[in-house]
Amino acid sequence: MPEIITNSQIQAVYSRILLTKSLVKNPEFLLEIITPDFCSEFLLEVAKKFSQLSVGDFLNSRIVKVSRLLIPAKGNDIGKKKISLFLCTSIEQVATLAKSYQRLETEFGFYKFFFVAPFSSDIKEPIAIPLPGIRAQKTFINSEGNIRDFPWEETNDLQQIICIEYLCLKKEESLMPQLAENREHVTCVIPTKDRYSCLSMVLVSLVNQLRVPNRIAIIDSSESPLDLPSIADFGGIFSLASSKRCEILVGHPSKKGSKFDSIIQALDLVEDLCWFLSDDHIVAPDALGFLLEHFQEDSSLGAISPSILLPRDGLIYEFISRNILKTFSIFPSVQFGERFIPSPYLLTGNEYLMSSYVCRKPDMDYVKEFSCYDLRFSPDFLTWFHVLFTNSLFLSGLSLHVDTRARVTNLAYPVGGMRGISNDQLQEQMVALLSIIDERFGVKILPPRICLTPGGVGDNILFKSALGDILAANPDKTIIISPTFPEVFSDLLTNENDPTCGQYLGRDIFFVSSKELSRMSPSGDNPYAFCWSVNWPHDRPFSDSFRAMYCSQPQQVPSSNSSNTSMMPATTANNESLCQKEEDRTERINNGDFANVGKGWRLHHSSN
Amino acid sequence: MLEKDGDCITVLISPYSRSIIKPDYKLITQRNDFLLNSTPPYVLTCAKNYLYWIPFLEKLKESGGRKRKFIQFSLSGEPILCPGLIDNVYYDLSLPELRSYIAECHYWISVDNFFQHLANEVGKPGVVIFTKSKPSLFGHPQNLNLYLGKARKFQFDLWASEPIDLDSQPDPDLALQLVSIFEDTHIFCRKLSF
Repeated sequence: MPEIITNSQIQAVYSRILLTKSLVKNPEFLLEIITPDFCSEFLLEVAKKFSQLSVGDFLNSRIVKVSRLLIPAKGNDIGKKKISLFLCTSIEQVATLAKSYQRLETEFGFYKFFFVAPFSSDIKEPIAIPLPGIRAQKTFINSEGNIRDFPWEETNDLQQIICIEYLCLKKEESLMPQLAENREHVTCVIPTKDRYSCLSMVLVSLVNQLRVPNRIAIIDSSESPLDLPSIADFGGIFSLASSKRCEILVGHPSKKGSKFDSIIQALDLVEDLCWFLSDDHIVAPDALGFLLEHFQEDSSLGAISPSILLPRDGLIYEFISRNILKTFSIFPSVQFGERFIPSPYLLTGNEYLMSSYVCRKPDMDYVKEFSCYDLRFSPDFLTWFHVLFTNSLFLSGLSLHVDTRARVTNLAYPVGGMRGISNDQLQEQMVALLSIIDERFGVKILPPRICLTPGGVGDNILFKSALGDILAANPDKTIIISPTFPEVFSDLLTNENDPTCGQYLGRDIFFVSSKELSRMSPSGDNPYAFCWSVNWPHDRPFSDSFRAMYCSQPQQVPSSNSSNTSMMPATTANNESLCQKEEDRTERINNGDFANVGKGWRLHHSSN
Repeated sequence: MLEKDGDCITVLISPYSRSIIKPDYKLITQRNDFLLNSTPPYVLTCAKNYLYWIPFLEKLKESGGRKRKFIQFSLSGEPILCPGLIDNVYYDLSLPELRSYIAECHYWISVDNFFQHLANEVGKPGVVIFTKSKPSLFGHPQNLNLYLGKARKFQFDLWASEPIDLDSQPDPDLALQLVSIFEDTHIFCRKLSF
């Protein structure tokens, strides 16, 4: 027997809606709007009206996050689904949601607001909520989104307001972006371990994509794996996926906890395109649609990644979204800090991608060559799989891109997951491995020369005047500049939309925000402090102090305790350690280590 | 962009940002008056600024029978040095815009601030009024660096707390003479005979 819902419960839910309306523009909050497939057109309009954003902005601005899987198995008009929202089919479901709301809010630690309204796909007429009020003739919306008059209680609740507003919206043209039909078969590969609650959200966000993936391959490495289809929540997801012609396959790797093995096993399931995704990444409804656009347009595309956001601040995940390999052996350069967040859309080149990206099946065969590393590094090595793979694509002449329109929220779920172990030894091994790979492709990883330009505009200009000399004096270094006034260097940018990469006198230079660099840069690297310390003669131009600091050897490099992330190698100590690593790496090569690295690596593209 | 009028010399003026005096001309035309007045109604928060902008520019405006067009560059909220002397004021220009103006002007006058470095990048010489900082450290040799030799000892400290020193401020008449010579050599390319 369904539970009896009370008016107070309904009002509680509707109050969440009202709160959502006020909070939807606040980046600290996630918006959760859920609907069944039969009235997506309607709720799309409602959502637009709700948020007072354009539909495109709305879809881009928030991640749909689904917590309870009360999705009806029925679904018609496949292909017409424009947005993945959940709408309760009955008042009983409203009650269920209302009751589960508090628990979910506590469990996941953020605010969530449900958008619920009692519509049904099973009956001809919509269900009216018997709230007290003045009886009046009001407008209803049925399951097909059509409007008709129906006697209803005048309650002035939000549902009725929405109905009225919808009347106006119906006059407008469809605001939904029309995605081109993509016939390529997309398989989403998700390695997972002990993250069932989180995984369910990921799956729902996938099956509710505007362009639903054809197959979802879950590689479950849990020690005591659950039978997912038999679990109520997952059963709903599987039914929904089936209704959308999306196949969900669950496998269990022979080496549990090995992401690499998981990926290798899943590769056989890939047909045309493969979308790697973590088990705590919630995908915006239009993400896959945006990503696939590029495969239609660019035959030289190796892989494309969405923007990976942190749930709280909405910033692009610094270390995952984009890094530059030339600085990789020391630390990542932050491409999209607070002041550098691209707006509204940036398609930018990369040297490797991580965590989530789409690539072609033929290139995946290439991945299998990496299996030689498995015994040596697995499972600790595995967090580097994507780095190695995509970087190899890059070095082979294929482009790697990030499309910031496609957004994925990394929930950074604290429990479970496929985790690498971070320690200095393994990181050194990885750095050595990357060096070998780069040598094979004729790429030399240059250690960084970090240049701080503190002070005012004038100091930045003075530094710029010395930049030519600094570059000439550091032919074997990657020049990384952290300016207090990036505008001074704006004419050096190679792409006006990308404030992080530039070129001067034929050399690549990179810019990082002072905030980011402050986390890992030496503290005393200030020209004024330098002049103090060396008793700089007053008859010598101050601008020469930059030359004295950055044209001589050695530079003080970041200390190893400077908040390096676990994925970054701990090779930040000093030049001596770098030299030592070089010796170690040479020794490994001479000893025959990594002998299989790169053997038979050859990219073959179906499109080429 | 700037007019290239043969009868009018276009001079860019760059006072020290966030430290511009209020344009009370009467109180500072006479140095003695200034010294006697204990509470001058203007603000001068940085020792690197030039106290005598107004008398200096007034003397320079039409000296030597030459007409000059003064264009002031400032940040929004800052006062015009003197509305009667300044022909135009631009606020909050971007660096590319400033570079463009510098490239097209006849010359420029600034204190020891970013402007001289930006002009150096463009390659346009000008006049820099130094007070407590040293041109040998912070100046560029192609400019006319007005300096009385009253720099402070510690050149690499912050300037915000540095007290204003009247002895370090070049006299407007002296500045005028030197700037006229600078104009002769740089703008009119006249040979000087001393």
